[in-house]
Amino acid sequence: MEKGEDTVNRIVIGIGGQGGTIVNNILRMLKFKAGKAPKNEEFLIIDTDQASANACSEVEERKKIILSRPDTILMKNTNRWLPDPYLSAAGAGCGQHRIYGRAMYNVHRERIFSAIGSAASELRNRTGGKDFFILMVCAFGGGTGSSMLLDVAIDIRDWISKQFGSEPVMFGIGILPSSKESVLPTGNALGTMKELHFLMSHTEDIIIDDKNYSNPFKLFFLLGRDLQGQNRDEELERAIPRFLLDLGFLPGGTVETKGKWLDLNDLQNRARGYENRFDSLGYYECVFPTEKLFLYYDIEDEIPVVRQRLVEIEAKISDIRGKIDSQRGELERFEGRIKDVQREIDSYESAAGMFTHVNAAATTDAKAKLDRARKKLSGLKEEVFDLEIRASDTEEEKRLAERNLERLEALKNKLFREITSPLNTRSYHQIELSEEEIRGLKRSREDLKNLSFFEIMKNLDREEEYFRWTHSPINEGDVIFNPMVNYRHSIGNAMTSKYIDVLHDYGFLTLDAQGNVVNEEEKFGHFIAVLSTRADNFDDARLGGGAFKSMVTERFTKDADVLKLDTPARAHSFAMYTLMIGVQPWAPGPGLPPRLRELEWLEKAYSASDFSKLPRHHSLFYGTPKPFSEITGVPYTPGAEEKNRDMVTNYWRDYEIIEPEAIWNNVPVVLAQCLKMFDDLLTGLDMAEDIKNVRVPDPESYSIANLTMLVHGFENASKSMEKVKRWTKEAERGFVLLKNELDELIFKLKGMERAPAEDKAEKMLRMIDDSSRNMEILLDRIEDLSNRFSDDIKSVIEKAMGFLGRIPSDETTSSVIRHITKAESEISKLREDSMKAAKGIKEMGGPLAMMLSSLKELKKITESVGSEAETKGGEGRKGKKKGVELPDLSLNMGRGEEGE
Amino acid sequence: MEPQSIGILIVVILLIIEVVVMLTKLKVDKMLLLMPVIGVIFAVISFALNEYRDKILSSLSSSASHAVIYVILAVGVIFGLFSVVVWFKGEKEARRLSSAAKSIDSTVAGIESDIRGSGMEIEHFDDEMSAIKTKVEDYESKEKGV
Repeated sequence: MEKGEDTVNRIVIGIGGQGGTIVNNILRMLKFKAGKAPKNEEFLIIDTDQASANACSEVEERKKIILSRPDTILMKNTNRWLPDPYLSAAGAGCGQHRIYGRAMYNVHRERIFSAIGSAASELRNRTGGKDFFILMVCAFGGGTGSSMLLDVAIDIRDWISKQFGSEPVMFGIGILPSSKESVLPTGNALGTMKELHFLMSHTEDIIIDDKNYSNPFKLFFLLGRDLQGQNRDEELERAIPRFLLDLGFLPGGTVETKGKWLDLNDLQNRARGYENRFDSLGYYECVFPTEKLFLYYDIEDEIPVVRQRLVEIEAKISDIRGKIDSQRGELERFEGRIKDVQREIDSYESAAGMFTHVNAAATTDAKAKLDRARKKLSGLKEEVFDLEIRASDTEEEKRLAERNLERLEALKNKLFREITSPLNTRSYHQIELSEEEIRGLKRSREDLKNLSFFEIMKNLDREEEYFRWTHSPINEGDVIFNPMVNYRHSIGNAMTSKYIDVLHDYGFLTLDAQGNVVNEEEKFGHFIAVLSTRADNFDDARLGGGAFKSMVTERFTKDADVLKLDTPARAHSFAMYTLMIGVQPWAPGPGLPPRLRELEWLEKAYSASDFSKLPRHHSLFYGTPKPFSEITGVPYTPGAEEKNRDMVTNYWRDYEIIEPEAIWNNVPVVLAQCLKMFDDLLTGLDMAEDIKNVRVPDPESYSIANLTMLVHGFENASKSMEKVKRWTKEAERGFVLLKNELDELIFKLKGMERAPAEDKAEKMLRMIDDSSRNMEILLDRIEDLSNRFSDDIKSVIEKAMGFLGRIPSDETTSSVIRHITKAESEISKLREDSMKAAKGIKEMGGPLAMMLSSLKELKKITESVGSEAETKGGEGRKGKKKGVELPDLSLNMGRGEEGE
Repeated sequence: MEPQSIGILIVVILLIIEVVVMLTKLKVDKMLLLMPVIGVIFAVISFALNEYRDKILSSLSSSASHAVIYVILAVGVIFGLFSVVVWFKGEKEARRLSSAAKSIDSTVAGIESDIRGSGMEIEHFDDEMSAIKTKVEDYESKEKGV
């Protein structure tokens, strides 16, 4: 494998609890893969919660920047602007208050800087490289990460630029809270997104008080904890480190050029012009469970061995126990024997005189032996006692070992379940194996190690399935729908077909052969799919990368790429990493849900906080009104801390995460709603018009059939009148809403400098003209109908009364009387309702007339901005692109290996 | 010197040798040593009587004097032999006691080595079972990683 030296210094900073955990996971995986952290990488965490920082065991203690809560006096002295309720925080860390996090940052700024600065200097000394790649990770819902992210990013960018003369490439990863989280974290996330979007919108340098307030991030990836309503924390924890390591954001030691893809220059180029938009990434992996299978086999083989050994141990222990008993008996017997012999010696020795002989040497020797034996015996008695205890302990150990064996059995069963019925998710698919296949593969387990994923599946006769789970997501385009956020790619999913028809009629969107909406405006910037597996797992013919690219670029993105990485280590897995650059999180139009679904619950939670509680969700520019004022143009009052703070809060409250160009895209959507409403109104008016056409029989031609027909006619008319009444109310409400949306849009457009493209402006003007014309027609019809509606109904009623009055008295049977009573009741109801309906129809004219004037104003704005734009000669994104200079961070990693 | 005296003298010498051996080699008790010494005295008396029979035992008939001399010699020899028997008996008892002590000692040593062996076996089982535990934990951690 080729290896090369990478001198780009990398600093990974995890801020807050979740940021720290992710950095810890990255480091763990890196150490697992490379043995140790490489010399050109530094991993730091910044946290205000000691406990969560302690849990990051892989991060060196000196790389943990743990910020303790200062006392309230220091806090107030450093942050005059901080309201009293936020001088301290409840719970751990910043207590999920972003404003408190900002104040904490101000107190500990120097410490944070010295830690990050010394890490950067160490890196610089170690590698000699002056280029820096900085990755910042945090959750948007907490208090620490979300509040310090922007300040740290700005300050570090400036510090490194000044210190080493080269601007660092900064990428960010932000984790959005799930829909099930409480108001505080969810509202925090929107606050963070607003501030981040604000910064991201400023792509050119804004230096105020020696601090640059332009966007520090080249790419900012948003990831969600909640995907399609399910918690995906586990997937996030797996996906982020794998994404960074496998693609080469973090090389992990000496750079292995093969099996990695990353070209920071290429990425920066793709991000150009989309710096003010967010990005996301996707992860999907299909695996053959070789590792699980091997583990299962090992355990399966191990269990009988262990069980046999435990049986043997049990027999031996019982043997030892028997021995101990017999030894104890023997020792007791020998104790007695020693006493006997001792007695005999004593008596032998005591014999004296002419007729006795005592061998003193022999007795001394025997006594010595006896003495030794006695001592040993007493020692042995203790040893036997100990042995008995140890045997009992060993029996206990054996019982524990039996329980361990049970655990092993349980583990085996768990693995078996995981292999035979894996819990697959959208981003992780493990091939399911049958019991028979598991047995069959065991016979060839040694070969399994060398076979590729594809070869194994082929041997199992499951080729088609292999391609379905590995190649189809690309050639059928499924991979596009697998980002790690909830993102709606198409306006079609959120709009009624009627709107789509209108927009289609005016040429704002097209429909492909399958009827899918194709809309240039909603395409995001770049889509890069990186496929990572062993080379022989690819089948180019089945992958259909070219077809995928054209399909994706036709419908979802402006540019797409499919890169193939030959990753020998991924022999039994097929991973797909996707980068979505320049996504548009905002709603495609007023009244429509946002493309980034997370915004739905973030906005809901944010709006649940009243003004007094909003500061807890915000951080940026508190205490720094001057740069805020210079950037936004909102004047500030020096020294008036509270006033300035409220001014910043106000600004954030009204700030919308949308780029100015996108506001123009709202115009056709609102106009489509106007045109649809026109159609609805016409239908309603026709329905009202229809009421007067009740057939009233000739008074001279009375028959029971005619009477029945009259009663039915009036019943139907009554029902229609009810509908008309309801419809007039709803239509009026709809008009008011639409009028508000239109006015809000006009308000936004008034401040706009950039105009829509000429052809788009033309289409818009055509739509405005048609809408206005329709409104005028409607107004005329409404006026006409409201004037004569009551009279028309009145004349019908009179005719009916005439018919009823001429019914011959001899015909008035009980049934006829019932009919007459019914008819009279319907007539009186109709008379009453007709007055209200006429009033309702008339009242619709008011909002309609106002809408007409709003439409005229919209037309004026569209025309005037269009002409201004013509004179400016098409400034805009293209102009901005020129201003951005990119640092050259080519890793020189052999582009030939970067796939197609 | 007549042959009979030479015979008695040999007995005397044998008894003296016995005394010397018992005294020097067998290190018998002084009291027990009295017996061969008495035997030697009787044998010497017997020798003297035999040499001076004509003077001392002249009053007796030839056969009676011979009987006296032999009786005294026999008593001396009996003393000598008895002391040997006593010594032998004592030695036999000492050896029995010594071997009993030795056998106790070696049997206890055998038990000791048995106990040590069992202890080592138990230690080995403990190691084996802790190896099983480690293996299970290892498998469990591997399972988390796969």
